[in-house]
Amino acid sequence: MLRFVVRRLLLLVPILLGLSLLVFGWIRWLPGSPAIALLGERATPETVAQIERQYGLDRPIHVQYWRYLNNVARADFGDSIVTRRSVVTELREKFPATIELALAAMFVSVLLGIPLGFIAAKRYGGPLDHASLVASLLGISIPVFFLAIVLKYVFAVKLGWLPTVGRLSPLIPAEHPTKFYVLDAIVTGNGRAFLNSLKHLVLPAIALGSIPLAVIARITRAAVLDVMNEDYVRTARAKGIHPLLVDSRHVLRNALLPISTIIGLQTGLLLSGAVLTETVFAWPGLGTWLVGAIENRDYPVLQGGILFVAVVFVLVNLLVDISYAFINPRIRVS
Amino acid sequence: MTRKLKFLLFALVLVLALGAASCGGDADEAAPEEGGATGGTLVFGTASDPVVLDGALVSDGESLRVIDQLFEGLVTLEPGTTEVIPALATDWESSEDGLEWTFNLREGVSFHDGEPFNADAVCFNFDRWYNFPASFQNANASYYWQYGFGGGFADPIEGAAGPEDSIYNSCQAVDDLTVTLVLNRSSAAFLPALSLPSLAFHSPKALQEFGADEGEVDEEGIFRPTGTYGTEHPTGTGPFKFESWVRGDRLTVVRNDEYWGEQAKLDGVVFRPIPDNAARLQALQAGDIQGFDLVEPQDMPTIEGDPNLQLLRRPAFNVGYVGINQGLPPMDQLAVRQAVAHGLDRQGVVTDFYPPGAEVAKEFMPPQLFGYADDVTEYEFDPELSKQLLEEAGLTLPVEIEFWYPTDVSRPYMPDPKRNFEAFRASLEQSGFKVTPRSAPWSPDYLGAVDAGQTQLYLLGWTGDYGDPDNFVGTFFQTQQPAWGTDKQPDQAIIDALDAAEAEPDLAARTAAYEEANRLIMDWLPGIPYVHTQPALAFAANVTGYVPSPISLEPFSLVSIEE
Amino acid sequence: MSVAEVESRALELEAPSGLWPEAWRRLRRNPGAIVGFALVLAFALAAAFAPLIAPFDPLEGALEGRRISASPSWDHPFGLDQQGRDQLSRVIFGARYSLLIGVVSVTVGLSFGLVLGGIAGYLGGIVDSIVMRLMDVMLSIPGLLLAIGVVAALGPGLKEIMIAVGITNVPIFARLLRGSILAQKENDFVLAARAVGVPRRTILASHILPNAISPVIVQGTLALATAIIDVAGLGFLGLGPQDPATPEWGTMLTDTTRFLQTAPYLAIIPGCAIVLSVLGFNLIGDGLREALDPKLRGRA
Repeated sequence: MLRFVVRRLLLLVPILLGLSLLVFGWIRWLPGSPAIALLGERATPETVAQIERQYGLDRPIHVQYWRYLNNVARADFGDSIVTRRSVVTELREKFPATIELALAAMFVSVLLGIPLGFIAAKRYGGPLDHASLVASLLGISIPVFFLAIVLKYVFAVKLGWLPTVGRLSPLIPAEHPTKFYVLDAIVTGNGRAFLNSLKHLVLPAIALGSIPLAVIARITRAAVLDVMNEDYVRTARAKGIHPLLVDSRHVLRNALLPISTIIGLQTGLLLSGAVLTETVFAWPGLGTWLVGAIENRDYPVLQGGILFVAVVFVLVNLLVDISYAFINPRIRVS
Repeated sequence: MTRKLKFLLFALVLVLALGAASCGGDADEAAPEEGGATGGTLVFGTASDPVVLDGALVSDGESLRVIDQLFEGLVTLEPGTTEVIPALATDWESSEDGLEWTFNLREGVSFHDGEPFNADAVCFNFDRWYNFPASFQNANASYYWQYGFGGGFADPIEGAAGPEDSIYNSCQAVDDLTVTLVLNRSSAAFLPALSLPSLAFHSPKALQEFGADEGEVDEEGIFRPTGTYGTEHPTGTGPFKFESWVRGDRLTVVRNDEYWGEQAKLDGVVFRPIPDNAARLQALQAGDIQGFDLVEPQDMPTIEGDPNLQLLRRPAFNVGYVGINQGLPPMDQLAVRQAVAHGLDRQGVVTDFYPPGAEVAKEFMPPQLFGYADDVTEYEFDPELSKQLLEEAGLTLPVEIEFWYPTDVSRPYMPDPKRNFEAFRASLEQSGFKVTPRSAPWSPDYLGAVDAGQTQLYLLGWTGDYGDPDNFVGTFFQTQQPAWGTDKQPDQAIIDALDAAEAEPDLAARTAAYEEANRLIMDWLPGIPYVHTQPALAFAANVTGYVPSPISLEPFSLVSIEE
Repeated sequence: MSVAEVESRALELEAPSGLWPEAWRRLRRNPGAIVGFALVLAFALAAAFAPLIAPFDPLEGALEGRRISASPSWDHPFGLDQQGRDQLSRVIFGARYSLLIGVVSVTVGLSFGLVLGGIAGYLGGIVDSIVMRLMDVMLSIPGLLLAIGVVAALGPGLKEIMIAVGITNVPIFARLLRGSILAQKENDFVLAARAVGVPRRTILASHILPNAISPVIVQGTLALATAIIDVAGLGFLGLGPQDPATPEWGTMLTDTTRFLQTAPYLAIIPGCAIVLSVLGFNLIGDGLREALDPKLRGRA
């Protein structure tokens, strides 16, 4: 087991190096010069040359890459061109917002997806099964942004039940020690901020959770069906053990294995979806931040932000693989 | 396991119930918490966060909107007009040759940090701008100092204006409340330019204490600002003072109780960034905000038809135009430019995509400004005439052109560039042209391409900063610019006419001079202006006292929220 | 990583066996798959015969009087867009673009992915390691973000969008093919063929590839669905085709959601078009998977 973990950790090195090369290369491939982005519309050839000199953009490419690696190693991504603040500072604000949203989306999808899939499997072939199949297929067939816009229009604008944008009503005084607003409210004992930030989470979480919800429901259904046909379940049933007990002890427990792994695998889907959901709900997270940086050619933000997102993604996948290997020894050998 | 399942279901029900309960109960909507006596807090939806709250270092509208509440300059504009009125200066006089201006300062004014406002503070600020370090000399940072005011730098970097090109020469504190500004050249636009929020005054003590201009040059020679002045401690004399800023979420300013003039009615204003246009309207309808700027024309009937909302229109102090780059053939030929002018269905675009009150533009400045000429050459939409002009110029139809439009942007003069582009393209293709569409994100790519002279035909526009023709036609045509291709094909007659008009002290003579310049411009046809429109703001019906301004900067101190 | 890939990894689906006639029989009995085929067929017919079906020219509009407020009428059942163009006709022509973008981008991803995956899986060793690490790097950037990045670098345009979406598919197919080749390599009939001295190339061509290809077909169908969704997402973020006259569904949907309050009918038809075509491909993909997967067999 230890050897497996060490091997996987070692594999990280080439991936991270490759990633840094990819991001570095991509940024130099983007049209327009970083100097133009920095200087704005009124750049003159002289000022452009000066900035390029200043930022070392006139040096050989391998020298530039080496400096980039050095900076990354020191967790120094430079300053945003647009806001003139350190990229790391911005990352510390945006990251919690996206994680909070992603966790809420995951919560929604697990909470609804597992029961949905379980019921569908138990009522295999029946109308409930078909209904949940159709629902989950629709879930992965509707563009996330469209669902988000419709949800917002119906529940926030027309019915007025929930807020349309943001993470917290600006009129509620609140401290943000952790930048996870719900957690902040708990830590500071702020009841109003707690309820209010939860309300702000509902619609974005449902919109973003729609895809994982559908996936989890489908996986649960398949996994439960799988397990129900296993010998030990049939035996248990034949022995006359109470069906509820069979379901809970044998069926769901064993089915949870594949279900739990997809939760990790969803990270990429969630981050892709977050780009769109955050835009609709003016959620100040990583997605809108990075898309804005691409538009504004905010190179330092892109160099730092995309690398960071990718590293998080790689690490989550690594954790999933390792924990999966713990559960399922067959993986380790292959 | 079923127990767990049941628990999960129970938890779900609990959460839903909680959600439902909290929907009804608590008063966390954007409505003011306590009523009339204290004025309440207004939540205003903006398109983005400000860059930094230091007027000398920004040029974007969202930064200036907030800065304008916190800071004041020597003069300001009468709310709702472009008339210059006293602000921190009570009165002023200029020398015969217009090179020395002496201002008497208002007594008893202090900055938000308690420091007195006096002649030394004025000179400190002017010295700061004039002596900006290299990293602040790029146009992106000190745009208004350089291009709005005409200031240069004591120690200029390559490409920036130096002392000899600067309108500003020096500042002398005559006594505590009298200050003299010495200029290198006389300009009729000098006084109105002093109303720019970028030339408003900061507390010298706060500037130093919080390192407004400080930064370290790291080992790679990159300047990294280290000060917190513009992000945490902006300190002016205005009716509101800075309280807090959670980026991407809210920026809060509160009433300055020590304000020298009439106190603000509101307790405070919260600026809340909501990038998406449609989302701002929805937030207003849902009560999450109480006002926002840049209402899209198609939403105006919705707002006007809603008894809970109101629409406020600004005067049409702008121009939207199709820019032409004469440096890129065949646009160097006048006949081709005329064919473009006759090939644009300007009336159709203005009628369909702009709100009532918008008018088709005849020239590059709005009609209410002095110097507007009624009798410039006009170009009707006439596809047949366009084709004829092109053929007479010896070109084979269709003539291939590149037409650029920006994405991810909404400007007062151009709420939806793509929509304008599509309609113009269709009408140009009827008129003997074959259009290749080109697009780029607004900033920096689009503006960069335009200013670098890469765009043959492009959509752009301008909103005035102060009430002087120099701010319109002077900005466009007084210098040779790659955007118009006037670096390659300048028209000296127009440059001379604009130079003479700017230096002319007599208003009647200036008016005539600008009228003549406008006639010349519209014959030469460097571009085709197509719209002057009234941008609009939307507010909740109970918000009063907001006076829309032609320059799109309004004081929130006059605003109140009715019960 | 796409939805389909997440699912197959989680379920540890085994490589389907190549019993095509049997699979086809099962597919025909799957009502979901039938509905899927019907949807995709309708979609393909609309694309093929757009000029015959569409009542109006999708590019021909007119200003003045035919504004966005022009409500649905008999002539224009789904209204007119901002340029006075018939919305229904645009959606019908849009089928061409969506189908084109989907098929081309999946083909791009599939061919590069298969070549890379095939090389890695068959050669193994250091080549395998290098190729697969490269794929890991590409997979470590969330799909939509990767596509946005590629469009930002190449510039907006139909071709660029296809390439961008195609690139996000490369590692998925590469992994898939490599995985099934590895699985097939250990199969009895391959071992037997090798033992009797059949050349490596022949084994690959006649034994391994045919058997490894069925999961690729399943994945390809599902990738078509994902491609349509991703293109719509790019359109929403303002990265649709540069020529705004192109009737691309995602951009049309985005443009019309701004009129949800005043003209909700405009959003309905591009929205339905996207959902139904994606649903169609998903249903077929699901049906194929069930029909081909030995693990799922015997249930339907």
